[in-house]
Amino acid sequence: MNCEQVQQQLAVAVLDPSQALPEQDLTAHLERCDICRSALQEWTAVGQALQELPERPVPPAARRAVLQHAHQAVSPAANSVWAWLREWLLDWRNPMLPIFMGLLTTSVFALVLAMHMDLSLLPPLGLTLAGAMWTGLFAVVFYLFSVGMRQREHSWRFLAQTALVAIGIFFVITVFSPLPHAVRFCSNFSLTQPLMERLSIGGAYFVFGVLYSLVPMAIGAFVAAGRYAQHPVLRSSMAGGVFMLLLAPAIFLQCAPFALGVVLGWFGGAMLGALVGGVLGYWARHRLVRQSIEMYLFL
Amino acid sequence: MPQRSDEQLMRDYARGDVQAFEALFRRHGQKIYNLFLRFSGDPQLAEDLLQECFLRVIEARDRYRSENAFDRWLITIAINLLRDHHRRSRRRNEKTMSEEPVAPDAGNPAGTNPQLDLERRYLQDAVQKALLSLPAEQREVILLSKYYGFSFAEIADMLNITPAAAKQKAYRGMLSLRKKLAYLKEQDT
Repeated sequence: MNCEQVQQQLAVAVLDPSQALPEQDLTAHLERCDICRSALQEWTAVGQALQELPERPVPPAARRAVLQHAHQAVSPAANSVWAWLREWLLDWRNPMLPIFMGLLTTSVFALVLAMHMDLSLLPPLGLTLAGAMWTGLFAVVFYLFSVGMRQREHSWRFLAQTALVAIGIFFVITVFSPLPHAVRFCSNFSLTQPLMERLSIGGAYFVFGVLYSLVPMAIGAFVAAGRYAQHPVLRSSMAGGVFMLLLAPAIFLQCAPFALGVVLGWFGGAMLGALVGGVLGYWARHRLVRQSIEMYLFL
Repeated sequence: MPQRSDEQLMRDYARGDVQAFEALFRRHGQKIYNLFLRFSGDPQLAEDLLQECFLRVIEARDRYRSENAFDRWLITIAINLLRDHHRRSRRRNEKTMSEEPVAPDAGNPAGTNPQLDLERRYLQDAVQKALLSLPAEQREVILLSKYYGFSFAEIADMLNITPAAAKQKAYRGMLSLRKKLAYLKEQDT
């Protein structure tokens, strides 16, 4: 038996003692071979170091989550309709979930828009197509989110999460102050009237478009940027693009009765606001917050 | 009352005995968590994978056949999860493992020598780092063998390879570890 064969056997025997060589053969070889003797000492040291790696306890949150799931799975309530529905809604592998969420979100948002404008002004076919397109876009974004959750694809999850948070905030703002109302209010308000008169109507919609997408997008990026480190500007801009895709139908629906200049002004402003807001939100999360924590700790 | 076997506990859980599952988790949770932790070096990922692993056990409770040893079945689930994660990470061209070695959690037990404790931590960090730098298939065999105490025949069965291939991977891994940790020996002398 040559040295290489002996060393191979010694290495595997350190891991699995049942693989040890017959003692007579081994002793005879080790007595006359310094290299193998030294190798045995090193294998043993490596094996011991592996054995002594520290063991951590299971984090309590993980333990709670697993045991809670175990309880729910076998509880009598697990067979109820409500439990089935909850399971269905929380299962990221469910292929119907993004479609359902797309339909639900579109319905809610269409309802919000209908509260502020007369949707009957639009042709029924156009309205149906816009609704279908919107549902599809939302379904794709929810699909990205579910893939992110399922496969721990943080980049996709961030992308979808940012856009969804931003569009949600945009609609909350729209409920309280729809953009056309805000433009009209500022045009009549004595303090802002001179400024609004200098801007054309398209310019006014551009400025408000920037604000109405920058704020939600910045908040969305701030909220979602927690576990996101690589290529922040590129990915924040991509998230801004996804947000714009979701926002575009809302803009066109609200602008349908207006002139083309208004539509283009709002759309261009929203696009600029979405891109700047994404980068700004990310930057705020990673620079300002970190700096303030460091300052707090330092003081 | 005699202690129930893992297989019995799993059967009991399938019949609705939640305490049986809790006992199983107590027995195996920490081992599986540390397997993920040593394999990935990322505590957050190890936590996610631990949850996913036991969720699969919960979902498969009715399909589990008690003629299969529970610990080997559980390890197979864990290894499949690690492989899925490794494949996805490679596809995304990301690092599979954390660059920082896992910090020991135990702290400094009362009465121990801080200098020795520091040295021990340094050694543990070096070993964990060296382990993380091994190819995934070598890491699998070494961890299952050294940490779990499975024989090469059992490991071969779990990983669907021959015992000779398992031994070969173990040898290559140990050879790399020895080379990567050789500087520690030089520092000692």
